[in-house]
Amino acid sequence: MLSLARSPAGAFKRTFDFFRRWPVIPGLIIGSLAVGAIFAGFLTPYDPKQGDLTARSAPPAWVGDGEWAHPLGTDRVGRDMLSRLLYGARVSLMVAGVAVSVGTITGTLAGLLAGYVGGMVDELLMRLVDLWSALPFLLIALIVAVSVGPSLWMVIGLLALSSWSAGARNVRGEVLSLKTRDYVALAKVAGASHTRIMYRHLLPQVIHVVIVITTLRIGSLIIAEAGLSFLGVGVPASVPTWGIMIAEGRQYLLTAWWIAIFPGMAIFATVTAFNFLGDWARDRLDPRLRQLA
Amino acid sequence: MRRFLIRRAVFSILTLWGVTILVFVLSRLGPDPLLVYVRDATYGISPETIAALKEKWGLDRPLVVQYVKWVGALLRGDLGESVGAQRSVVLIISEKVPATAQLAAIAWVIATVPGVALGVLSAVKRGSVWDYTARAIALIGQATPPFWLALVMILVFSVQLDWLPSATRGDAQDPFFTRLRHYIMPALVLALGPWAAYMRLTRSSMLEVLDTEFVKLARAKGVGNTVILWKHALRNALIQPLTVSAAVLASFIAGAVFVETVFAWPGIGRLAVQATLDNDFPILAGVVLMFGVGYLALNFLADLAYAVVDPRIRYS
Repeated sequence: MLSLARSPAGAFKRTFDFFRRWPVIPGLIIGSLAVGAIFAGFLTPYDPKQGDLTARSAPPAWVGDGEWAHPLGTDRVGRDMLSRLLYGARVSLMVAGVAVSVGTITGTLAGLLAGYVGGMVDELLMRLVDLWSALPFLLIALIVAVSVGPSLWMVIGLLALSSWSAGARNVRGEVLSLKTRDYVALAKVAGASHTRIMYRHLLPQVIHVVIVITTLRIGSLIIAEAGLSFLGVGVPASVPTWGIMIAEGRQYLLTAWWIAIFPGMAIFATVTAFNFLGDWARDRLDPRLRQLA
Repeated sequence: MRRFLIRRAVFSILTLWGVTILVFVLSRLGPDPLLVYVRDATYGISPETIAALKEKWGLDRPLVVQYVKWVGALLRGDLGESVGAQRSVVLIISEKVPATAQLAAIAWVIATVPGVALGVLSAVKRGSVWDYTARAIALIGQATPPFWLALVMILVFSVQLDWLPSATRGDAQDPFFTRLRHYIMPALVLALGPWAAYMRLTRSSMLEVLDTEFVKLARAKGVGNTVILWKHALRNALIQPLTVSAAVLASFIAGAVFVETVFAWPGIGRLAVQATLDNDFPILAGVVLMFGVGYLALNFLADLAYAVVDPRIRYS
């Protein structure tokens, strides 16, 4: 029997389609994380660096004699896990955000220049990109950690350095095909300068590539930052970050698993959210970029 | 084909040269070059000792001279002496290579064979349970930090279930299968990221190839499904995963550092981390260069394989 009324099954399907069509959950995760990171100071009554020695290694609220005063428990020196996670989100998002911005801007400029100017400039820049993608960045980070010492800016700089090349390659490819289009030739005839053509006519046409690459890149940068901090060669150990929390919790895995487990879950949720957002942006803006994976 | 190979070989050598420059520049970037040999160089050491140490490592010479001497020694296969143990770095590294190489080889097999196979399966049976399962694992593989995954696995399989040993490579005297148990967790953790990359790439390029005209034509001619999948489609779909082999290998290097650190694996990755914590520049530089050479060599092999699979490369 044909029914035009909206059946419950239809409602379920519509909800399902809505969630498939729009990145609601990733958006919520990233949004709440950003809010938590920015307003960490207002949201939690605890100092992330100051421990309460009377409440050491308290389990999460739902485990054993855990209390809601520390919903996710405390670490070995009695610092509130939730507060540290929120402050850690601040560092993670800041490092990944700044690094990806610097890397993307440099990469886009290099790609524009290589594709538009061509010739020797193109050859040089592209060989540099090849060389760059052949560098083992983690090991290079270890060398810098020894010679300069752990610092927030060193980590940001290294991650920015590691992330310009992918963007440059893809932007160049796009520009190569764009610059043969008639509208670019017309702009030239009309007397537009090279800078103007690159800025006004080419850049807006490649910006979708940049957005997709940037979003997909953030996740791996968050993991990279956490990894450097985990090894003790990234951000100084006094700064609360997810990687350092995992490293600290590693020793107490048997007695206080939550210290190492929660920061990892935070990383996983954040990175997955960014990856989903990136996939979504790619499918929307430019499905041809699929091979970027 | 020959031109292609020569080009790649020349480029590999240039890259290696670039790596030496980078390593040198970075190691001299800090406030005091002595820092890369001795932790907190100024504390508790007399000026005379500092001067003597600087002379010992040639740090009192101009930078260009230091670089040329260092590269000259490298060309002779001399990586210098470690600061801590005062032993030849070449020896120290060569002792650690087998442990890492074995682990990486096992992980590579785990990553490629099931990765490509599941990629094909997931593309052919698109939308099936297989497809969703494979994609879910790939998703986890790409978003989980390897060092954390390693800890979780230790917590579950060693602590809770007591199925597998959690650290070291086992004793040399142990029977083969006892030792093999030590390899399972580290190899799985190391393989997961590359596995995810291979699976996703094979899946997407397989989907693309299955949609092309020549596959449709083959189907129209009545070619069997098996032949189409394995001969027509997979051969073309493999090009994509092969081109990213370089990136996959790079992730093995990073992965080895983390996996070996967590599982106390006596390999090169752990050696590098230890050298970092000990400010032992000769070892660290040796490891970076060794990884660099290995990486470029494997990359070169990947290019060769690429040329074999894709005739367009051979004849251009």
